[in-house]
Amino acid sequence: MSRPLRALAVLALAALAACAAGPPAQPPAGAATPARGQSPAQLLAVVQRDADGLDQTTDAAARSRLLTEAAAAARQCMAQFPDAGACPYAQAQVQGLSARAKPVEAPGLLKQMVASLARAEAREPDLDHAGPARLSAIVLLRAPPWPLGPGDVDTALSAAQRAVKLDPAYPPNLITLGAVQAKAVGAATARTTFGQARQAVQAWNGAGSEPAAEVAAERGKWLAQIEQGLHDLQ
Amino acid sequence: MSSLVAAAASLLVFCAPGYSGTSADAQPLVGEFATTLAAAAGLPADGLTAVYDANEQSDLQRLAAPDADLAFVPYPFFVQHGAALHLAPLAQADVPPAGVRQHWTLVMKRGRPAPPAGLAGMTVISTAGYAQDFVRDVLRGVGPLPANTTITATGQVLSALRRTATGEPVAVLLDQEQAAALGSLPFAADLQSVATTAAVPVALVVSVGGRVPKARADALQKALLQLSGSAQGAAALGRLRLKGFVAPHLPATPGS
Repeated sequence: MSRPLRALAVLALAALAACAAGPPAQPPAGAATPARGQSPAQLLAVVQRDADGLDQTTDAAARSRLLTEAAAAARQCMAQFPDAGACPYAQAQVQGLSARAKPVEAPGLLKQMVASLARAEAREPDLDHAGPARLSAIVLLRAPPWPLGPGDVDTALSAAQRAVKLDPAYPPNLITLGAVQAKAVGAATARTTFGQARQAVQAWNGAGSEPAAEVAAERGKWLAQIEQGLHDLQ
Repeated sequence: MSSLVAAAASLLVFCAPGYSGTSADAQPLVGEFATTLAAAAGLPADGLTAVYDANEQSDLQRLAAPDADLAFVPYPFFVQHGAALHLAPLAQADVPPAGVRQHWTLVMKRGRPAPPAGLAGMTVISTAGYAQDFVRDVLRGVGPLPANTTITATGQVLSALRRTATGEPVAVLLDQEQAAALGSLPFAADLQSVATTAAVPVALVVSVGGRVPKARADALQKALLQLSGSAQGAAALGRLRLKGFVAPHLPATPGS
């Protein structure tokens, strides 16, 4: 495959960070920029809220502001809590968002993103329902493959299996595993996993204090992803 | 109204079989390229559109439709489908750092018997594996492939190289960029480059099925060859990681 076509495929990375993370914890009310004294979880929530915001606006100025704010939150987190897993997890999501904003720089940013996720997983593998392993699997599945980018289905499969092992009840882990298996193993295995994911969605009652409406919305989104995954197998 | 303006709008299909990008993801880049090229060729703003497609069968369907009259194709795609689709080169892509031509490299597990005999019973895997004619042609220098050698396509070259390194009956045909990176792999010592092909074009812009009126084809060709000379053109090319285009100069036979 020629280099320009690889460059085009870099754009396949859109929404990597946003789609893979769980719903953000509630950020401090009215926080436009990260404030001093916030916990790693709060700073991560700022990043995830900004990632959601980036998905919902096409206004260039607004997108630039959101990306700047997310980057500041991740930097602050890394500076203040160098041992917290949430900080490299937040940093990884900022790197994914930056890759989307700067396609030419995406291959390098995505390699950094994979490294950040490895650090996050080493420190807090359970974070965000095994989020570091799950997001690693998605990046490795969708990123441009070697040598341009970190894309590697074999390693993606290992990461997705780790996520399911850590939190088998969380539907996105099974959905991610099914998507990776579709490319790395085969349609039959993936179809079985998507079936397990559907059962997990039906059993899902939320992760704690989530309002019922949010839980219902999550279920609907996950079921749509499962249907899309099954459709892609055909 | 000039004949260029009067002609129906052109559609440029970026064919990228086996690669992972989606049409929607790539649309901003190819759309910008089409707009810039149209302006350089003196076409109206809506005179040229573009789409990216990473599926070979879908590419073939798109090119069979009457509205597709231009394509950006990897050279292997041109070798495999050029005659059937009546693809006529307008320009040859200049792709840094390779330039306008590149070598392909055949990699096997270190210690395997040399090809072509060493390829007996093996599978040759490549991103260009969908273009079996190209693979056979470009490897002609190592001798005709044994009858029981199979050729398959992959978008996962790294997995194929791992399989090779662990001793599976797999050889991998790498493009120039992949071959240059081979030494960076942790299992590179288990691999051996056994053949390097003659240089062949990297990619081409072609007209499809003679559907582009000659005046428009001439204008587009001139615009492609001069595109890198303007700031806007260079920027659009740069976002596709292209340096520019030169007049097409194809090998006398596809793989030489």
